[in-house]
Parts: sequence; C-alpha cells; structure tokens
Amino acid sequence: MRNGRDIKLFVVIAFAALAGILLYSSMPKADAQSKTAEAYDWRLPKGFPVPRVPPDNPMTTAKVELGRHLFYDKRLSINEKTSCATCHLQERAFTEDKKLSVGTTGEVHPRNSMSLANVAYAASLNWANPSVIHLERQPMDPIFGEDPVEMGMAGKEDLLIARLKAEPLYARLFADAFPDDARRITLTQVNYSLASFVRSLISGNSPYDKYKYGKQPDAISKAAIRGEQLFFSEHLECMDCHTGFNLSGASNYIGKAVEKTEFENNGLYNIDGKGGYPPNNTGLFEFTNDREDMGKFKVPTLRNIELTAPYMHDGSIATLDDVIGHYKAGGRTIKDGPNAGDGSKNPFKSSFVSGFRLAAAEKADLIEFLLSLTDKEFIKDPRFSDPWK
Amino acid sequence: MRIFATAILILFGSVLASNGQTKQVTINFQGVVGDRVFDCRDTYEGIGTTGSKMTVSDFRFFVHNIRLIDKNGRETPLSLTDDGKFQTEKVALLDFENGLGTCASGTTETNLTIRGTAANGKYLGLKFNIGVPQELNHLDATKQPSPLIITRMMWSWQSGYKFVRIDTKTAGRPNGYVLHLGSAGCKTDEAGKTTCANANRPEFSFSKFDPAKDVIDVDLKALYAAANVDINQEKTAAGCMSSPDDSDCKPVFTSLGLAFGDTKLASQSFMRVDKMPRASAGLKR
Repeated sequence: MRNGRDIKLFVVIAFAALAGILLYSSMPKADAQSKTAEAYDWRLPKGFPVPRVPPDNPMTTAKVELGRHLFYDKRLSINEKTSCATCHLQERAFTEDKKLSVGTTGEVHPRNSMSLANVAYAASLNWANPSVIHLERQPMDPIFGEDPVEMGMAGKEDLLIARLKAEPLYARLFADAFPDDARRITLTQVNYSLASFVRSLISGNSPYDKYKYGKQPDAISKAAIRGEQLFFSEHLECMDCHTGFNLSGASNYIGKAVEKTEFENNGLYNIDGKGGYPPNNTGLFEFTNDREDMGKFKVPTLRNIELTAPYMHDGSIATLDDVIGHYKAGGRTIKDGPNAGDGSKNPFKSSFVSGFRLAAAEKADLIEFLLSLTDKEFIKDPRFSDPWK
Repeated sequence: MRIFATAILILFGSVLASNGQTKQVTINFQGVVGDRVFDCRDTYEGIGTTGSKMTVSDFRFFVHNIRLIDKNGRETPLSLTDDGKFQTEKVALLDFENGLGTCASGTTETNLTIRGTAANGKYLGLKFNIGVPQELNHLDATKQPSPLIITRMMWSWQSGYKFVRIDTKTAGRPNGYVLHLGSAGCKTDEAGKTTCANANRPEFSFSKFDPAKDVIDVDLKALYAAANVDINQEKTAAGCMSSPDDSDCKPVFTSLGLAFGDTKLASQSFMRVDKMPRASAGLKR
C-alpha cells in the first residue's frame, strides 16, 4: 500500500515536473507563435465548408496581413500606379466597373476583372487557363505577365524586391509571416502571402445566406423567394452550372473529392458559323488548341453579382436584365460587325444554355433573387480593406 | 582583342581541364545576323522575304539534353555544371542580349557558353534540344533556381517558360515582331500535372563539332529567311507566340526544324557550326 502510494506520488511529481519543463520550454515559442504562425481564423459563414489549403502554404494571420499590404501596394507595378486592388476593388466585390481591365502602362486586357470572393474554393482561377488551379500559381501572372502587360514588372524582379526592402513596415511583416525562413524578401514569400490574403476573401453573409442558412425567413423578399425557385428549376437550369453554396462552377473544399476544372461555352459568339469566338478571346481553346474548347470560359460565382457588372469574360453584357435575356434566348445574336453571328447555334455551347420562356414578372423575381446575393458586410469588412489608408 | 583573348582562354579551358574519368567541356555559341556578330545596338538590314530592317530587344533561349556523339553515333550526356546563374544541372540559358541599346529590359551579363562534364572519350558531334525539360516547365517558378527564376522568360499565359525569346521591331512592324517559342496545347489534370500537345522542343544535331575549335553560330537572319517580318496575320500575336493558328509561326518553326500544320519536319537552319576563335572567323561587328 505504502509503496503503491509512493509510486503514485512519484508519478504525480514526475508528471508535474515534466509538464513544467514542457510548459517552460514551449513558452517562448508559443509567445512567438501568437504573432506569427497562428493558424488563421476563417470566421466562415454558416453552411460554408473549410477551403483546401496547400500543405506548403498554410494560412496564418501574419501571412494574410502581409498579403493584404502587398495587395494594396502600388509598388508592385513598374510605374507604381497600379496595385492588385486597382482592378479588384473591395466595394465592387473585388471587381471593377470597367468592361475590360487596363494595365498599368495603358494596355487594354482582353478580359473583364473577375470577382475574388470565395476563390478559396475555386477549382481553377483564371477565365480560361486550365493550369492555374492553385492560388499559389496566380499572383505572379498579373505582376510579371507581358501579354498583356498588367503590372509590368517582367525582368524587374530585383527592383520589386528592392522596393519592398525599402519599406520599413515590411521588415516586420515579412519576419512575422515567415519566421522560419532566414531569407528576406523572396518572390515565393510575396507569392504565398498574396495567395493567402486572396484565399481569405470569403463572402457568405448576404440576405440570401441569412434566409437559407441563418434561419431568418424574412431576410429576403417574397419576390426573391420566387426567384430562387426559378433559379433552381429544371426549366431555367441556372443551377446546373452555377452550383452549390458558391453558385459557381467546380468548387473544392475539405471533405469532398477534388473536382475537375470546368469551362463552358454559353453562346456569346458564333463568328464563322462553326463556333468561332473573337481571335483575342477564344477561351480554353487558346491553351489546348482543341476545337471543342472554343469559347469555353470559367463559370464564375453569382455571389455579389449586383456589384460585378459588366458581365461575361469580356464585359460584353452590361446589365443583369440583359444577362437573363441572353440565357432566355439560349445565346446571343450579333447582327453585324466583325463579331456577327448567331451564338445560340454555337456547336460547342453548353447543353444547359438552351433557352427558356420567362414572363416579365418572373424575370423581375429572378433579378430580386440575384440581388439578394449581395454581401454588404464583405465589401465593408476591415479585414479586407486597404491597410495603407 | 579582348574577344580574341577570351576565346583563347575558353579554348584552353576546354582542352586542358580533365581528369581520369571525366573531362570538362565548354560549348561556345555566338549570336549572329548573317555575317555580322549580334549586338543589341545595331540595326540589321535585308531580313526576311521583304529585306526588312530590324532591331532586336531580346535574344535568349533555353537548352537541355546536351549530348556528345562519338564515331559510332553513340550519345554521351553532358552533365551541366550548376553555376547558380545561367545553368542548373538540367537546363541552361543562352543569353545574347547585353542590356544595352534596345535591350534595356534585359540583363547586362550575357551567357554564350554551355559548361559541363562528360565521360572521357573521343567525340565528333553534338546534339541538344531547345527548351526547358517537361518536368521543370510547369512548376512554381518562384521556387526554382536561376535561370528558371528570370521573369522575362516566364510564359504566364501558358504557365511554363518561353523556351526562345527573340523580340524585334521591323520596318513594317515598328510596334514589335516577336518569337516566343514554348509548349502549347497544354492540359492540366486534377492532380495538377500538365501535358502539352505541342512540346516545341526542337533538337539540334551537328555531326562534326569540336568544342576546342568550333563555335555554334545562332543566326537571326537565317531564322527569318522565309518569313515576311513586315506583316502580321490579323488578330494574332505580333509575330509568333507558338499558336498553331498563327501562320506567322510557319516560316520560323521551319527554320527551327519544327513541324507546323501540314508542313513536315524540316532540317533546321537557325544554327550552324563555325570556326573559333570568333574574331578571326571573318565576321564583322
């Protein structure tokens, strides 16, 4: 008995000592981690799954904060006139109101700026590049790309690093974000932190979310509820492409098998009667050279769609009313000019873009539903705002 | 005189540096435009089918898979020496632009040699491919060693590298006429693996090449010999960016020994063996 108690006592003391040692040895580290390697708190909206994150670039508060500073930093462009936020404005759900984006040297991009909301879930990132499937492959494109020139830094990687080193604030931000990396400041670090910030841009607090996931039946109007039924009807088939909680093409997140990239032709053009698209904007075809991929573009999220006009990959439709008109007709007919053709007869068009009947009142209901997807908290969230202001 | 001295140095280097098992080999290149040594500051005339005028603002390309050929046609690989700048063990960047004149966006340093080691033996010929090897072409470029980190050689839209980058301006195309060769027709699977229908890594083969005495001339005039550099197919890239739909690619692909559309694989005319040292090769500056 006595021996047993001694052993118990010994065990207790030993455990206490061990715990003390562990606590002591971990204290400075834990303290350091509280600022740096702290796992990022997504603050995911109700009903939202956890995004997949590549193991070599885990989300941390420090990296997201660094990425936010870089995102809003015009020194990332050759003439210091353009930041990522120039074409991706928070108040427009990280798009802009221009039909086509313009690079920092004035070159017009063939594409409309795409929303960055919820790209953490996107199976692919660009309008049509099938190889950009991770956010870590995206930020270098606008910074260094030359065709077209966006931020114009090609060949100026040393200048970029020198500019960042000259900003006193970055010394601390990079050290916090990459505490285990003795090298400062590298392109990989710039890339990883920008990817982390963009991955943090989660939007899921729209009136529709409150209605759907927040058990607030009055959060959206009766008209919007009727519009929701139309949107998800087999008659309109909107949800066949704009799927899931993000109302978008293929999404990936933890707990689900990885989805393939998805690109669709929605019948905007049919220049030669054989499915042709304008030569500077052929979509997936530009990469695969596979005729069947002509005019195929990413299916974007419809969240915040009220704020992201004009619409389509080339900004060629100005209003939601006209977008619905386009799908109602099953494609767009252009009567004259270089792009003339009947898009509804495009042989590569998605089978879900086949046209439908829709009364004027129904159209109004459908628009009400789309307007209920606007997340006003997202566009005012200080976590996503310009830190230099 | 300085060029001559360098050439002698390289010549001796390539002959003397050897040990029992392997020897060091240096392969020399020079950029030329017809009978003139390439220089960023010069304007060249008589280019292409129209005899156009041309200035050049970039002139670089990657090579890999370098092999020395013996008298039986057997191939011995040249193991590249990692210099942390222009060569890794797998790929080398030849850089003919010197950051001067119209090449202001380039780099001051040039790289006109490929350096490596090969098993001792008597070699008569040389083979190599232009391009970045497939297994290195679609990785996170920010994490690669130099020269794969050089942003002007990155090909954002195809998410690989420009294997060849030759940027020019011509009399008819004063805003630019370029050759960006790279893998095209690429698809990426769910696992992130990219495969390309048109690899565009042409092979160059020289049956007689002595590293100690010979130099490979890389000739822009020959590259464009069959091209009309004053016009551009409407609504395509200015010059050729490797699109199979861009007819401007046809004559340059042919010069590179690449098939294009219906045209069959041709024998290349872009490079040829010339005598070292360069200064006495009868070339004008």
